[in-house]
Amino acid sequence: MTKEQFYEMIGNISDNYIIEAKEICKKKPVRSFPAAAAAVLAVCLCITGTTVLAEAEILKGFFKDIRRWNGAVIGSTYEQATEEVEVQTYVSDGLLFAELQFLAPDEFPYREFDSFGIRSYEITDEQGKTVMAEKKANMNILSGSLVTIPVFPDPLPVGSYTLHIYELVGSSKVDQPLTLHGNWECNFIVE
Amino acid sequence: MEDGKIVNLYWERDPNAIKHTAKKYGRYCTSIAFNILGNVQDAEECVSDTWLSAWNAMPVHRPQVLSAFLGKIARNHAFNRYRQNHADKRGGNEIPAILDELSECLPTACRVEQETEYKELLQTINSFLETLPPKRRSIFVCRYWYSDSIGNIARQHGMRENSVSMTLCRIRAKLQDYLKERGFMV
Repeated sequence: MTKEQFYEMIGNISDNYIIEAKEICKKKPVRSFPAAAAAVLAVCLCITGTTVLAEAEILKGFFKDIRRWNGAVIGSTYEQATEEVEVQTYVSDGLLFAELQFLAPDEFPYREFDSFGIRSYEITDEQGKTVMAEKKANMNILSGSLVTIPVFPDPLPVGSYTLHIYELVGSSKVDQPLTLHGNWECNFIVE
Repeated sequence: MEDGKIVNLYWERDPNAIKHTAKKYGRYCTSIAFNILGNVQDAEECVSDTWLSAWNAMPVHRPQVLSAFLGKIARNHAFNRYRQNHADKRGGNEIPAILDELSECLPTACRVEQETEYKELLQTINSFLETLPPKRRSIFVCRYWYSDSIGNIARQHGMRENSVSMTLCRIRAKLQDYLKERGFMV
């Protein structure tokens, strides 16, 4: 089979997928908005006048020890991960799904993870009222640098919402799960 | 006008069928043809051919989804035109890049002239698409069915261009494995 014949064959895929793609494209795209990161960057640029390159270094994530009262290190977390993971949402049959994608998949700690997910999130409605808030690890096996997570098991009522994610979590076979802190916001509409 | 009524006009051999089809689906079919050909004049000619093909096909055919039916005809006409133009070394918008991308997951063991093998492969591609989440499936269909540019897909899906390219690359690799497991690749 030639590539031209293969292209022609794809032309005969099920009508449902053709219509579905058109519908998805019609919807207003939703995209993560790293609000905190943008604010930090703006403040840094205004106050210090340092270069963008330097700011990029400042916004890079870092590890932080978790210490017991006596100073003993009992674990670590990863801070300021907002700019290193892209979050996008889509709604299917009223259910909300989040797609998490590493922007630097070859870098530590992302290259170590087998599974990834959301640990702490909140859903607010148009008035900013909390509809749902949960702090429980919800993970899935990574496909390359991407993972899709069903955020909430029940369909949401029709309306416009914002998903706020505060903590993500990654795990590998050999290590205990690592919590990543950041601030991700995605608007989505349930129709 | 509703699709069912437009189809009825075709079945009644009413020439207004083409007028209503052009009004409702003219832009849709032109964009499909333009993505393939990259030339407005050629795209418009393909769309005119599409209306003629639809007129010849109905009756006997009664499409379930008129937009997809017309889109498929427009896509076929545009691709045939692309091949003619390509023989003359002119035209072609996204197609050269798309064909190169598809060659990464080409089902080399399938003989298209064998109807059963063709149908089996088509069914396998449909079942592969079923395994993808809707958004990723939409990205695949936009690129390889609608022949959209990466930039356009990124805008429509609220993504960055390199994320779209990476997503497509992963889907092609997955499709390659899927076809290999089912014996469609040597």
